[in-house]
Amino acid sequence: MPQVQVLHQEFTDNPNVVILAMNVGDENEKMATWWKQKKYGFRTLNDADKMVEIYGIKAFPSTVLIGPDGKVIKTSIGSAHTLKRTLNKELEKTAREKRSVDRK
Amino acid sequence: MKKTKSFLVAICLAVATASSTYAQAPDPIKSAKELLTPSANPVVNVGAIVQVDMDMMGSQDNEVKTVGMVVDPSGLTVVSRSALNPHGYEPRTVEVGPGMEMTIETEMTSVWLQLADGKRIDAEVVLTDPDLDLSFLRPIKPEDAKKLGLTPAQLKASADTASLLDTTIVLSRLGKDAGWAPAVRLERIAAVLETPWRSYAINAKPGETVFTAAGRVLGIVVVLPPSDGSKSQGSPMGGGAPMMAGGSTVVLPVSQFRGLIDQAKSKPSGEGKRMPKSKGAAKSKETVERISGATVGGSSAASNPLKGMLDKMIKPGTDAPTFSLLDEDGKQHSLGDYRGKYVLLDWWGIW
Repeated sequence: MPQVQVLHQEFTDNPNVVILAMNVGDENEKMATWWKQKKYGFRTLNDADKMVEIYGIKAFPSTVLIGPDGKVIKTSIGSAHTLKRTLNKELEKTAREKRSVDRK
Repeated sequence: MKKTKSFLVAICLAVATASSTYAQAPDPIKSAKELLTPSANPVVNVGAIVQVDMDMMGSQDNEVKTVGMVVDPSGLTVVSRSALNPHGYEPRTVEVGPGMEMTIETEMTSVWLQLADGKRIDAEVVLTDPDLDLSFLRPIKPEDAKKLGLTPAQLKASADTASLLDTTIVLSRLGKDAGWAPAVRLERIAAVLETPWRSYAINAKPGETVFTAAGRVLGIVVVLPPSDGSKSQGSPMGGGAPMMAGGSTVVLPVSQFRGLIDQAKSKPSGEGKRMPKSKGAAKSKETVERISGATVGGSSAASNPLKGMLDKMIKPGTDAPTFSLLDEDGKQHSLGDYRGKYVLLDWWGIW
């Protein structure tokens, strides 16, 4: 089960956050059926297997947080709680910066 | 005869004047009783919810209780920073098994001033000073300050020095079971310290307010930072905090943080670390989650599995490798499509 399920409820309505499930090791059809039943509200990508090596994923679940500039901000294995905190802080920071720009 | 009488009266008058000018040492018990009245007592109970996040284990909410000194009619309250979060502020790594490490981070999700009638006044942290071990809190709603019913400490009349073995009055507050009642006791200055700053070692708890025997405010009790800078020792639940690491409690004289109070007063609301409204309070302890532990590619770092796995993952700060993959509906997604947004990649499998 995707760990991000915990996160998606918090971020699914946020236009600044995109959640992508990277499916590894399942047949595409089987996975698609299962995924649609679950109605998680975000997309799962097929054949993420080939990215596993490149991202250095060694355990499941694992989560990678990428910033607006395309750089990795944080990674986690297992519970994504610390990652959730990091993302919340980032979003707050962005909102604050936006506010101060608007004021000018 | 007449002359003698008036001479005697003169002597009596002289003695009376002398005894009031050269008064005996002030009576600390009398002063202490006066300080306990609401119109003089600046000590308030303070509570906080600290969320402790542990990599690979989920998070847990802990309620923290301490006391602080009200320093301004706005309800501005100073507390010992380390007492407000005994779990430590800095992320730290502890060894949880042979060769296995875990990162622990904490976050204060709410903080409040606790009234004697059980009501809470939501507050926010407006200023902190890790070196002096101080944090300043202020009610989020300015009108709440009146509900406090406490008088700010008379800082203008503070006594900034004390001597070894001086009797001092320590004001505190008891816990919930005791109805948050004010409490007082006498303690003597055990040592006068000059480093890292002038302070007075005393047997007291962080956040308590200390007065001289004459009832003038001397300062607030804080925890001296450990001089060796040691951070990551002890148990996962609070070993890194100075208090747990055996830091000494000292009175920090008002003169050392008068400037900070002025700074804290002028901090506009919301620009400090704003606390979400006590959402953590109702949240139950989350169950401990563990990783499923499946490995990919057959490689396993036998002696140090988790750390080994984390080490191999892509490093923060590097460019995330791009990809272009189809989703469950056959729609294509590239990482590049999402420039300008935060992207969470969740690696999973149903198997």
